[in-house]
Amino acid sequence: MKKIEAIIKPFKLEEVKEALTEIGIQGMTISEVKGFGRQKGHQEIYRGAEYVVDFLPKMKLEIVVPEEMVDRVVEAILKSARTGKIGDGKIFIYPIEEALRIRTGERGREAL
Amino acid sequence: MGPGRLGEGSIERERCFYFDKFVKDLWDPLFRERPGAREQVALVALGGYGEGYLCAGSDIDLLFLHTGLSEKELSEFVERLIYPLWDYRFEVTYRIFTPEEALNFALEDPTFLTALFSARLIYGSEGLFAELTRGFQRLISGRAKELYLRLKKFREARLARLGEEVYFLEPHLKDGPGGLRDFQFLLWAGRIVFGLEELGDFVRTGLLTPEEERRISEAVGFLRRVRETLHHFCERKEDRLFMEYQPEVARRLGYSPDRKGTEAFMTDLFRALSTIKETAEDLMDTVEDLFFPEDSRKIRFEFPIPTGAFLRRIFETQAREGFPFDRYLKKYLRGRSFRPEDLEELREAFVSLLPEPASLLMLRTMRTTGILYHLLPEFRPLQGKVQYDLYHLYALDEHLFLTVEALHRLRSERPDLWKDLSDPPRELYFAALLHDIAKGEPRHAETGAQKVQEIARRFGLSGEALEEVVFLVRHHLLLVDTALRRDLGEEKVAEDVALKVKTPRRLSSLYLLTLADSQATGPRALTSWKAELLEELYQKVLKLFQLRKEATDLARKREALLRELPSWLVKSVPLPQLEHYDLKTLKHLCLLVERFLASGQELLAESLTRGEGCHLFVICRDRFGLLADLCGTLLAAGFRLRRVRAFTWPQGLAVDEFLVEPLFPEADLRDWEALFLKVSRKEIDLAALLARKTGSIWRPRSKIKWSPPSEIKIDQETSAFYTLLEIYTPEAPFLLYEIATIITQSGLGIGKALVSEKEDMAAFIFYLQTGGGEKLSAQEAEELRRKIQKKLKEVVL
Repeated sequence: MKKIEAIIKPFKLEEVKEALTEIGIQGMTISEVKGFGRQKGHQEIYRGAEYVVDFLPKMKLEIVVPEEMVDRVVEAILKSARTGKIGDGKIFIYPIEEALRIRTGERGREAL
Repeated sequence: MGPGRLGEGSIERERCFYFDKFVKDLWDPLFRERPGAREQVALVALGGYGEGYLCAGSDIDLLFLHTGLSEKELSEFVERLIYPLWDYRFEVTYRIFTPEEALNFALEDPTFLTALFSARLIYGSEGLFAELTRGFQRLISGRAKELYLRLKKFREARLARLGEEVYFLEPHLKDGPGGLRDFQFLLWAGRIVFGLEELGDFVRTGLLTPEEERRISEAVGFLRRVRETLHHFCERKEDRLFMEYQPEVARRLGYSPDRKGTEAFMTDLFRALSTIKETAEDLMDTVEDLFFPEDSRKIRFEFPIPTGAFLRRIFETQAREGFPFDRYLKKYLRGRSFRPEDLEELREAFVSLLPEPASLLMLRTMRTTGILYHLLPEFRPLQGKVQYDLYHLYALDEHLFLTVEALHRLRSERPDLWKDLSDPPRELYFAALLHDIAKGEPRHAETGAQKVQEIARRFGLSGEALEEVVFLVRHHLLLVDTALRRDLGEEKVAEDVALKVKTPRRLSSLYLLTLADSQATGPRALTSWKAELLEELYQKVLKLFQLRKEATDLARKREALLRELPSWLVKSVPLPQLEHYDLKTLKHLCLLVERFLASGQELLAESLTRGEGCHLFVICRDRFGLLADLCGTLLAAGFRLRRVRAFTWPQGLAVDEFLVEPLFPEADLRDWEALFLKVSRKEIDLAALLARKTGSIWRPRSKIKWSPPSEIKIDQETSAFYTLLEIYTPEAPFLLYEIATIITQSGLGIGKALVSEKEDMAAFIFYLQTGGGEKLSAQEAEELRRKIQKKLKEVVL
């Protein structure tokens, strides 16, 4: 099992969600996050004005899938979250040791 | 001690009876073993249990009264009772006092003081209990004012701690406004101040009418049933009616098992809470008139003739000064009926009263007195209407009131947004009150706008004011939807908003409404994350307005085009193109684009000869270095460029216009087209071709020796999306190609380009972005400036 964590532009959420639903992903966790990377952000836009922002609003998606789904999920995110401009985001993939469904106590793939 | 008792025969009462029996049975063996103890200890019920109501899962408040027994003796009595209760998982709170200790403690602790009001002997020494009762009477007599103030402070602290209003969507049934504690407060205050034993005494002494007594009894009975059902459902003491519990509690209370049933249940609950809160506050009003007549600042019931002027005056005073109505005035307004003409003056003044500082109090008073529904019958179905989503904290009508209130706050929080608005911006406040008037219906913003057309007319609004209110209601979700769902890095997105709002003043109004709506919804509706996206959008649209004051004419042009052409096509036209061209040319441009997309060609070029000369319109897929190629090939084909207007459309198309002048009589645009296609396909090296032509006849030579100096400016302020590169330099035909090539070689994209010439000077304005679609950093901009400076020195001098 792997956890795929994607940081995307906020307005891309619906598109990415749809793309993931299409390939059969049934659950995900999303959160509003802020961060910065290469994208310069607002300092340049409002130089000298009062609106100086270091961290830019992004959306974080977390999905845990069986290993064989990873490539399809990554591809779906890459395609749907891409604008071609800076700040499109990143995808991280982590190994998952174990998963449990709290209600039933099921483990592993069954819990996903 | 005689608590106020209601509705005999309830389950809570029965439970109390059995519980009494249970604890008596526990103590009985002890009394048999030690007969003397019967006069030395007493078990007293306090709080709800003392009143004779034991709700499922409620705490059991007990007081062990004793004559001063030793710890060892006492522990026998206490343990005999408490351990079994714990074993049965009852939540027990208990204290062990002599009567004197109990009374001293009551003076220190208001919770205990109020608990003593409902003290009831369960078992043990009647003498001890009587001693406590007599002592308690002594304690409170002559201290009415002091104790009342303590209770009032206690109530205020409780409500402040919860910080919610009656129409809070997840009400606390016990501690919230209008909750059971408010009913107890009513009884305690009645007892302390007037010596009343039960609710019936309130009627007998004229403090309540029989009708009011019936309403409050029903309300309390209903609230108790809800609480009882909730405790059963949760299988624990849970006094907050969370949203997830509401459908099941409603079903168990006999409401239909669907959304409608739940909504009807919640509306009934809000009504019950309002009734209790109102009655408690009316009693406070009476008490304070007695105790502190000089401090009482209320709007009083006066001879109400003529009715129209009277109604306007009382609500006007309330909205301005923030004084509550006294109970007689509220009763009067609730009780009488009004003819439409009685409300005319109030209706005329209503919209102007909304921006007054205490308009929230005015709206709430209008709701409790029912005047609101005479003025705005559309509000009746909204009263207490629940909004089941993740964000809303209050019922719909309260949400609308709170939106108005949020505008007051925004006056000091965001003074920048108010500076261009009329004073007071009554249309904005009116729109805030009405923005969700059609909530629950499909496309509620649009439906609401249609309803508001009619409502606003009824309130005397017409012309621009009417249009403003309708616009704000129709588009109250525009900014939030755009900020969260559209790419704010795209200039077109900001341009679309600018064309919809048309003026910066209206942009401010809409932004204020958006912020107020979010603030009134609840803290989750406007996280700093969302607020930042909204602010970014606002700033970007505002920047577009800084260049052009307003977009009313442009919006009009666009509307005219929309009547004739497909919407996707018209909506693709960038704002500056709408600005530069007349309607006829714009239509022509749109048709060219449509033809280009349908043809699948690489290039669509069309020339038109008009007054200024030959206009060449070019449509093709935008790509890196395109402008340099276009300018270079035109030059190589023997054309001088007198003006360029180059734009990128959202479909990734370059839609450009060149005003060209042949350098040779035989220059032919067909040759240019062929050359351009070859360059695009990389069949010809344009740089090499132009290098070969260096020195040929099109290379200009200065006619005069002196040339005015060139000026290069980097502008990071004007646009939120691009870095502007402005160059003013002596005119030279090949310069544009040279500069466009430098820009391309620097890895930068040209979003727009405007080139014009005046006498022998040329002005170039390039809108530049990095390959990643951002503005240039200061370092990148400076580097570019240096390169161009160097080139200008080479060519111009």
